Amino acid sequence: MGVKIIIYEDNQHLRNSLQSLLRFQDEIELQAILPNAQTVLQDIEVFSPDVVLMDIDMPVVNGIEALRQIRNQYPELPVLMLTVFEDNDNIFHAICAGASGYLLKKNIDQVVPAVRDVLSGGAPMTGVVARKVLSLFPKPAMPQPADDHSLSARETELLQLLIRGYSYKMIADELQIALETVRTHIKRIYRKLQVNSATEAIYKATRGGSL
Amino acid sequence: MPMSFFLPAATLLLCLTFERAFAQPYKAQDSVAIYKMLEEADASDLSGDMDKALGHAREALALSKSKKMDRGAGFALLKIADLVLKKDGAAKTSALYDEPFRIGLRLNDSFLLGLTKHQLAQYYRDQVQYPEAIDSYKQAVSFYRPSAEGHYIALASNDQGLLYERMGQYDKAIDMYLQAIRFFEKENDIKEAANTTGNIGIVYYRMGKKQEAIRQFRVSASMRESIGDVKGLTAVYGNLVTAFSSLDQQDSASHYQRLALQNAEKTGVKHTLAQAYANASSLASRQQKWKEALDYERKSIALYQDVGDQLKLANRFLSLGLIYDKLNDSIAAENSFASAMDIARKLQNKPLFQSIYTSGSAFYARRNNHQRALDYFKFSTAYKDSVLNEKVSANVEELKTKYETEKKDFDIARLETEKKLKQLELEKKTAIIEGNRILAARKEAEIALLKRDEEIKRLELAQKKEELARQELLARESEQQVLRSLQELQIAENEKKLRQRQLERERLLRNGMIALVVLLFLIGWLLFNRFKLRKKLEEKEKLLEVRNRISKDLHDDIGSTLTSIHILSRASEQSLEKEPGNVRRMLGDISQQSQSIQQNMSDIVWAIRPDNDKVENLVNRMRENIGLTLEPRQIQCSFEADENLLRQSLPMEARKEILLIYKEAINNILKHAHATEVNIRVTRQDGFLRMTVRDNGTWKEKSTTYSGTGTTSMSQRAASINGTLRIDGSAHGTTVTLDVPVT
Repeated sequence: MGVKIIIYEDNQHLRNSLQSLLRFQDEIELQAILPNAQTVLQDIEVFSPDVVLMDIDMPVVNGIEALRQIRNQYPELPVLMLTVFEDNDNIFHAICAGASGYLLKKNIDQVVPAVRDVLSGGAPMTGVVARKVLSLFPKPAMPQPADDHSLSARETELLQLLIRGYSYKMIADELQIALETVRTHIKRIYRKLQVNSATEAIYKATRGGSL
Repeated sequence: MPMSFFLPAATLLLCLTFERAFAQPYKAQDSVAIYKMLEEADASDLSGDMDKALGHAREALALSKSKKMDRGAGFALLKIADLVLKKDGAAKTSALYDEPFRIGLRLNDSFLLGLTKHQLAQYYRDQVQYPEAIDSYKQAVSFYRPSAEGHYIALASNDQGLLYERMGQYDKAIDMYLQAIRFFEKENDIKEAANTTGNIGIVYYRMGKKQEAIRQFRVSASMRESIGDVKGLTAVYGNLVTAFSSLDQQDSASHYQRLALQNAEKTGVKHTLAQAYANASSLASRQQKWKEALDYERKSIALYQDVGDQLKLANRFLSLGLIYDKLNDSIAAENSFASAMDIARKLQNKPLFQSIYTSGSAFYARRNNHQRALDYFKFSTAYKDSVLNEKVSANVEELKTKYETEKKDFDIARLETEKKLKQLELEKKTAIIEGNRILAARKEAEIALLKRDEEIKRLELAQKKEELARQELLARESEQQVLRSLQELQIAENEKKLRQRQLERERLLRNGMIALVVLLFLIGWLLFNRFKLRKKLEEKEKLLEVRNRISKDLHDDIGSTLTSIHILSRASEQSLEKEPGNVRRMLGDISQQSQSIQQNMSDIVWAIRPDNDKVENLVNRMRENIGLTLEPRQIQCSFEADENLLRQSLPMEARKEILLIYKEAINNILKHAHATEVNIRVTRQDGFLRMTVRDNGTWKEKSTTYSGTGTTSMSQRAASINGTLRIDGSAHGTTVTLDVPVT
């Protein structure tokens, strides 16, 4: 029995290709591949997936909006974002809104390991996203006991290496830590990001804006 | 508004019927001839030809003398005196009346005597010697016989009334006027009676009894209406206008003003009409009907210009200026003042100057041109002083005359006193000799008295002389002062003009400078704009070039790869049944080629983004690439980048090409080198960015591969950014070195 997934993707060609690709994957059980996220909550109720793959750029209800709806009802359901470009704000906003990870469409053939990583708690992060993460957190003026919401020195260091193009493995080598530790750090960063951006969202909302 | 006076004609015409009650040594026809000549003189006088009149009068005098006709000579002399006085008002002609008076006495001719005194009185009147004039008038009246010369008595009385009125002795004036009216009525001369009635009205007006004045004017008007005396009516209506206007009965004033104008038009005399229009304008001004006032004033001016009365014209222009001022037409007002000023200059009339400057000062003050107002005020004051000074001089002149007379009188008196003293001395001596002590003492006292009298008189005279000297000094001083202040004003005016001219020059210079600066600025701006435009065009061209290159890249790389994928797909389709083995290979190619397109696209997009313009960005991307390429193959990697190169900017083209060369090099290692270690370095090497990719690969198949398209495209890419590419292969590995110039 494979992992049950549903995919939201507005491009018909890509939908067809994904269907062809995932049809013969034993690890994955593709339950539905949907062109829009207008009925996202009903869909989840009907299919009760283990993982949701969500395209960010979609008409009517975009991926981030759909992600928020999901998070309201299912805080723990893993949601993997699909996107063409990594170097715009989409991925970052998605992570802030509670995405579990992301997958670039050019690496769509890596969908199976990506799903596996997400389920095992390993989320990907690249330099572009890392730069934005760092800029969101205020730089601590002096080393202070890390609380739950600010980045630790190690986490900051890790993000800086990511920005410079280091892979997880290279980071592990550089910092002389296990690869698994790198992943744990990243996961923690994700969580802090979500908490932090939530407080920021409240802050912004009181100012009459919206995230 | 001036009151119009009607002096009886100054000329006392001689065209009268004479009683010939005297025995005459000359013939009747001589007498007729002489009187005819005098009549002709009168006629010429009336028509204004003075020289001709004088010629006739002298002819009459000559004939009278040759025929021993004293009476004719007397009248001829009177006529001559009259004419001479008329020709030259300032001529001292009182002596001219001495001979006719003697003739009159000799002939005991009351008319000749009366007329002589009458003319003398008029002479004094014109010389403003009012007491002498009145005295002469009284003598004339006493000579005239009421039965025969009543008309002349009336005229003389009227004149006396006028003089009393001028001297402010209103009761005497009215007495005289009433006497004149009695005689005029006796003579049935309604015209003159009406005139004198009008004069009584004027006296009442002066006394402030305006209602009584109006009553008199109305009587005068009705008398004049009865005989159709339009000229007189114009005058009396004018007086009524003044009276009503002063009582603020504007309707009545306007009514009489219309009548005055109508009658003035009827007279056909331009002078009268011009004055009537001027009066109408004054009335309209007083009623604040400025437009109407303007209209009348213009008509008046046109008429005065016709008759050429400059003084009146100047006053009219001044009044016109004031009306324009009220109408708020500053330019027209200034023009009017200027016209008045022109005439004043021509006439050199100081009172006129003064009133123009006074009005001008007020005018400029109202327009907040205080400098001008002050200047005009100064001028006005200076002229006022000057006018005053002339009066002072006249007074001094009068004092001098009086002094001279008194001195002469004193001398005569002194001579007489001396004679008397001698007489008294003689009488005293005689008395002493006769032993009459009392008489001698009385004579002695008389002598002392006389001497003291003389002394007093002498002292008085000395005092007067002193007074005169002081007055003269004062007059001269004030005259000099006025002159000086006028000069100072003139100098100040000139200085002001000079300063203004200088200011204007400075202003011109300044404006020129400003214009120049503006022009320079404009030129600069234009040049800068052109520069900016050219720069913009250059940038646009550059951008166009970039775009062209990108589209060429896309077309070359992606277009041809897509075509290739398309062909491969079709070929796979066709080969599916015949050669299934080939299909697998072709599908592999499709997969690999499409992935390469993706990579390419990603790289192009990365290169285009302007925030990736530093070497640092390039290095990061290169390192990132290792994680995706070499790392999964378990190839050991070292990556070094020169820290001081990281902030260096790189143009879009360069970063793209360097990245692609690097990726090609890595690609080649992956494909062909079987390397276990790769060393990558990015360093600075005097003006060059040096990138080296070294592997420890073995050299199987490599020779063929490296001469293939991969290396060719690498070299081309290097050349396109002015870089050099070197590939050094050896048994222990390959080193790819790229040098790119950086600034």
